Amino acid sequence: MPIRLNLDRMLLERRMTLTELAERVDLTLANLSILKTNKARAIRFSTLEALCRELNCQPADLLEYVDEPASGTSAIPSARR
Amino acid sequence: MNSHRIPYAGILVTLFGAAQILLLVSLLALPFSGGLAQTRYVTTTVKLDHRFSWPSQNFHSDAASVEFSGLYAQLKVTGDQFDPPEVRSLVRRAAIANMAIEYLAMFAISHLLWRFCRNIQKAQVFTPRNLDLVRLIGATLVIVAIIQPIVRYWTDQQVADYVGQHASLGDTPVAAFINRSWISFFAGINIGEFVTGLVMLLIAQVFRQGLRLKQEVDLTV
Repeated sequence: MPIRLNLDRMLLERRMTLTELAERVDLTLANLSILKTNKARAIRFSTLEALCRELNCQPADLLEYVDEPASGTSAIPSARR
Repeated sequence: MNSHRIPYAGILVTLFGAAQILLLVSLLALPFSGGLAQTRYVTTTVKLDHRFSWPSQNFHSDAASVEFSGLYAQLKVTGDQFDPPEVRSLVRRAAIANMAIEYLAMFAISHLLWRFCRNIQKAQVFTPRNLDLVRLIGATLVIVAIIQPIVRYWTDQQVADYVGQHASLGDTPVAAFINRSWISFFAGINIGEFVTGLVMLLIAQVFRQGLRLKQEVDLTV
């Protein structure tokens, strides 16, 4: 999936565990794992809002577009404003 | 996880469960009972063509009871306990073959519906297993609708051969008048069953879409 959720990086920066975040955003650990492992097909705005609120960040900090060619070469880093 | 209960699913599970047990017992008992009550009055029909006049000529036959009926001069051979054994066993074999196909088809469909309703009872609606079950039900109905007339045509022709050899109309063997038209085969196809099977296959496609949508929703956080 070209859209990636950098949840593990944000958790590391905020020194928070997945379990703790799950309790704060009122999501099950299973669903949060789906997000963390980038298996999710879609994310609700309400979920994104809760994540940004608890992690004190912007959606752009969490979401990243990765151009994945067929040969699977490394991702193009996103331009930050 | 969707834990919503589906109403009445339990009742259907019980009904289809009981139906498949009854059908299985009937199927296994068929060679022994032979539909004993059935062979007394079940008939196999062979058609006679337009040269066969109704009903003034004398009719001689080895079979204990042969009757004419219908506008198409259908010759009916009826199995009866007073018949010569050859006629009785012939009609009995025809009846068993046709009933076996019917019971087997009904057992297969009730078993598939029982499994389907059990999944529904567990609130598992749009799953790959249910999709396969719906497809199987549709395919079974279509196949049975085609096979049943084939078996019936085959058994009818066997009886026709026997009657043709042993019955005569005056001095002319009845065999001369028996119409072995393929139209009788196509007329025997159960159109309702065939169309229901096609509809079930169409519903399977709807299920496939439902499954795809469910998978999308399941992976939406």
